Amino acid sequence: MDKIVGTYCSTRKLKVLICEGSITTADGSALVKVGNTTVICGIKGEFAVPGGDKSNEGYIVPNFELSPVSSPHVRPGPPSEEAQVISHFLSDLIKKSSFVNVEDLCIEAGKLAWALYCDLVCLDSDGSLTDASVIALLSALSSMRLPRAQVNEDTGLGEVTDTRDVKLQLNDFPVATTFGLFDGVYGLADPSNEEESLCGASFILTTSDNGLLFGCNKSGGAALPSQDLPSYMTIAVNRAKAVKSLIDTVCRDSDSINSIRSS
Amino acid sequence: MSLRSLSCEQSLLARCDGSARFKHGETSVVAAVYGPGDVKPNKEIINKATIEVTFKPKTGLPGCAETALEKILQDTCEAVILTSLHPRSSISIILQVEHDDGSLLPCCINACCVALMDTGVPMRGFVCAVACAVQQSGEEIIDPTLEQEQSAAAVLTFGFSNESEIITSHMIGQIAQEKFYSALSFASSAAKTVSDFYRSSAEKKLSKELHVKERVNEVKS
Repeated sequence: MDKIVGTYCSTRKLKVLICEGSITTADGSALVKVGNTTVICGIKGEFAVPGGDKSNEGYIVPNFELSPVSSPHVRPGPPSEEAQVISHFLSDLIKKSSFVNVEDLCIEAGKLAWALYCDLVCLDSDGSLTDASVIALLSALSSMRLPRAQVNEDTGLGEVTDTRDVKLQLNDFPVATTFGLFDGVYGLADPSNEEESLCGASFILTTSDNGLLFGCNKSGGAALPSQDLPSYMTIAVNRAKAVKSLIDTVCRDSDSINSIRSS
Repeated sequence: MSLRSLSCEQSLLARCDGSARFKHGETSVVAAVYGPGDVKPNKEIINKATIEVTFKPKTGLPGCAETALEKILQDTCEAVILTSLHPRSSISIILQVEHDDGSLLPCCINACCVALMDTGVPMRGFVCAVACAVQQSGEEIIDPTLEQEQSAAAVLTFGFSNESEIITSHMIGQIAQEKFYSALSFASSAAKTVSDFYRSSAEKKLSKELHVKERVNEVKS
């Protein structure tokens, strides 16, 4: 396809760097660089009481913020509109799709569950923020290790052991790919900040490596010719495959570690 | 496979420059437009109008979800409004949800378009929005109710231009790619119903105005 310029793996040669365990005080963390865009994600697990009708579910609460170091346009203060949109995107991805089971976070139904607070901070904003955020969240969730927990029968409070061997099972790895539409005709995968500002429109395809579609989000701008969608989907799926294998390589574990599912 | 009954009421509010109430079945949204008018200096754009959207949910305080919805509506309206005709001005759109029974985002987009038409803001066309829910069984439902949305595997919203091109799209959930294309084609044909509805409601509104003018002329002569 001559019209679609650039894919994750080939022509644009954008490097993706994943560094897991960057934050030693967090239960799970990952630093991700997609090209120049840098996002760090830290996950802390805290005890929570499962709510009313969802007594066997835990919580995963994402929060994305843009640090003033990332760009001259970002001012200190409450999260900007851009940050809130990405926070909501991640929250929808977790709640409305089944790539992760919140039931796995339940320790004892109705009494105790894990609440995972995922804080993402953008350190360098050079376009395609959603892509980097999703990869950072997936890597941090994959590398997360929680201690074993149970409810103490005498006190009714939660208590943890000193081990760190409980991990969360991910059913799928949905990866977001941003495309910029230039002149309504040319598609640019992974646009940088400068490219995004020049493109008349952009859209985000969230796909997993097995071809499932988790999102197709386009917000106004120039029209997207629907006959080009299959080629964009192919690029997005190829990228999802490459990112998944990268995450697997980074977070490879020995067999002795138990997952939450089996315990 | 069809939409629920659409209804729309225009010029219902007295203070604003234009307003509309749009209903998809029980889902009802009121949109009010003020503009083109003054803009705050920090939001001024020298060659275009600034579009500001405020979304008020039926209950509760606005949060991230409402901000994300405002961004989608702002970008959608910017795609069709001829902003270069009103530089250094603002066009403010305020939406209030009266009842949410599913398909809220398409109802909001449609309410915005009709309210903008009522105001007389120059536009290059309309955005006709429709939602499609794909159930766990694989069945596609156009214009789903709240119950259908909550039990669905995925809910897709599309906003089409006059030429049936995708201006806006929003999806939550997960489906196979083939389901996406079939949902897109169902939504595209359903959007034509919305487009015809815009046209007929514009004709009704203008014919009422024409009748009033004719009566006035009769009285004079």
